[in-house]
Amino acid sequence: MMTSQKRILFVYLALLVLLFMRQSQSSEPSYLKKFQLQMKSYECEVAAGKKRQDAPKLFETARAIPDNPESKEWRDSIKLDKLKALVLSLNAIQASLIPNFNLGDKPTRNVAPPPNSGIDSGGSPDDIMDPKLRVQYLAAIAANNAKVERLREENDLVHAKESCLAYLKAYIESYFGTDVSPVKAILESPEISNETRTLIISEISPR
Amino acid sequence: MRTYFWNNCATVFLVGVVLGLTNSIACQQNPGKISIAVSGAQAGSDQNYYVVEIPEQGKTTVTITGSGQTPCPTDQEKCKCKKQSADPEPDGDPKYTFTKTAGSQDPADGPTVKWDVDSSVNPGEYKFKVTKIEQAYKACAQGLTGGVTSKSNTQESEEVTVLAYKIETETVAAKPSDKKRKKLGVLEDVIVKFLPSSISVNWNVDEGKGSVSPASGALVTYTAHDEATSPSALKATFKGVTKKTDFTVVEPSTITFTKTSNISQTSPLGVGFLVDCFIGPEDVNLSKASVGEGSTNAVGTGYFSYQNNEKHRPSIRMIPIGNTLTVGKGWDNGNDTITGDTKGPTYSPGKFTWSIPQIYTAGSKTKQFKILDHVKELTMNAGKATLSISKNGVSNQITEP
Repeated sequence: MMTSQKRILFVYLALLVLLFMRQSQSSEPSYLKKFQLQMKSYECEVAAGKKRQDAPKLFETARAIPDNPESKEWRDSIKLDKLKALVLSLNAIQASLIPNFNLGDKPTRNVAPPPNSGIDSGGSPDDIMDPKLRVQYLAAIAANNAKVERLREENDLVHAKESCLAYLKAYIESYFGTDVSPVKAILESPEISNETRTLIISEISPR
Repeated sequence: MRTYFWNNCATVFLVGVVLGLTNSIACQQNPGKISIAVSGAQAGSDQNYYVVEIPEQGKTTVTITGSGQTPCPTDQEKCKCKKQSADPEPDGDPKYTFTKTAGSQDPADGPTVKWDVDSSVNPGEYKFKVTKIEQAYKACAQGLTGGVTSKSNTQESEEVTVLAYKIETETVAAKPSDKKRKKLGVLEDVIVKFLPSSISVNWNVDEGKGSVSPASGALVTYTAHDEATSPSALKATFKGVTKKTDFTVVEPSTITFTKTSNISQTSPLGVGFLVDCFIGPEDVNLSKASVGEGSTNAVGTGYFSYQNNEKHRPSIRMIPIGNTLTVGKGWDNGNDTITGDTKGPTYSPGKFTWSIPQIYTAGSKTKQFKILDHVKELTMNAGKATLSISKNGVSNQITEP
């Protein structure tokens, strides 16, 4: 005869085992869940007009979804879910790029101090005696730093776009071969911009 | 007549026995399963699974060898003379029949299939099996009875699988144009494909030296380490076999200036110039790194003693290295403005030097890779002052009117 304490313990252990089994079964889709949550958060940030720099992180999360071509579960569902996550990531990155950004407008390493400031380029504003000239110099430094920051942000997005596009192209080649119909179906989704659609189509079209 | 027959029968029999003994027949009353062995390929963790890398150049020969025995002739099949009997004489070597998806079986090579794996081979799993060993026998000599034409061991061998694979790498950056290169800039991305893509592969890198994402699959991105590393290995583990792909990672190491304009003023004397900056080396892509300057204190002597110990302000924001390559100079990396001031007359000789650390950042790594001297000098000649300034081999000067 089982005592009531033992019975409770048994039920508790059984529940733990069930919970563990459920978690281990859903270990792969948890990556997708992470992506979906990140995507929602990104969309909220974009709607609020900020954090365009988070788009590359979406790609990193999408790419990190493990592939297991020998698993039926992966072939039947995760493969396609990951493809969609990659396309959405590229779409987000593409939307984050500043149109016609002039990558040729280069910042300078050292800003020239105003004439007669008494210091060399690269010198500290604190060494300028004249407060007016010091303010001018500080403003020039701040403007240059802002230019570097814009360039760095755009540069990161350009890198992310290149990496995402290269990975996406190779992903389609590796796992879908010449059957690109699933890709085209995803691209028909209204959330995908024309730019992204054109970009992907040109990459997967036979040359 | 009877004596002749007896003598003839005995002679033929003896010859047959001798021939039979000299031609050793690999036969056994109850031959077991046919064996199959593979050489020239690496054994995987699964039984009867082998892997061979498709070489970029040359070839690797995989040999699949069958072995086993044929059943010996039964008593009824033996050559008989009176009460004596012997195995019939074998006719040539036993024949092995393979079912195979690659390679060729040349009878001259014996019980083998030879498969030359070269760049023309498609990645994939290739199957091999020996289905039959057949031994032919000559008819019994005249005067003998019995005999058998052939005996077969038709028990199939196990099937062996040989995976012919290759690992292809391609840099994400379009420049430099050699996208297959294994020499990379810091944090450079490489798309790595395992072929055939139906195989699950686990990937890892030497601890802390680069990264790989995702951790499993037939397609990954390898990201180079954030500082010089050689070799930096990417390891692929599949079917119990590990294959290493070595990369060499290099850091920014050179800075080249090209003057675009001069700056000068006469009262008080001031001089300078503008340059375009380029970072090398040129044979890797460095666009994931940024470059800036560190802080240092000046050494000021003579006229410039008032500037002794003056601080060089470190870069708050590092300038990303661009994707435009100028051959002989390097990758574009913004501009620099180099100016030097004086506080006016009375001029006298003096020198001002900043030895400025050149720093690159890549991810969380910040590292000094060079020092450039910003040198400003005041010289006097025939009562006139000349102010010169130089940095990284580029200079400008102005003389008092």
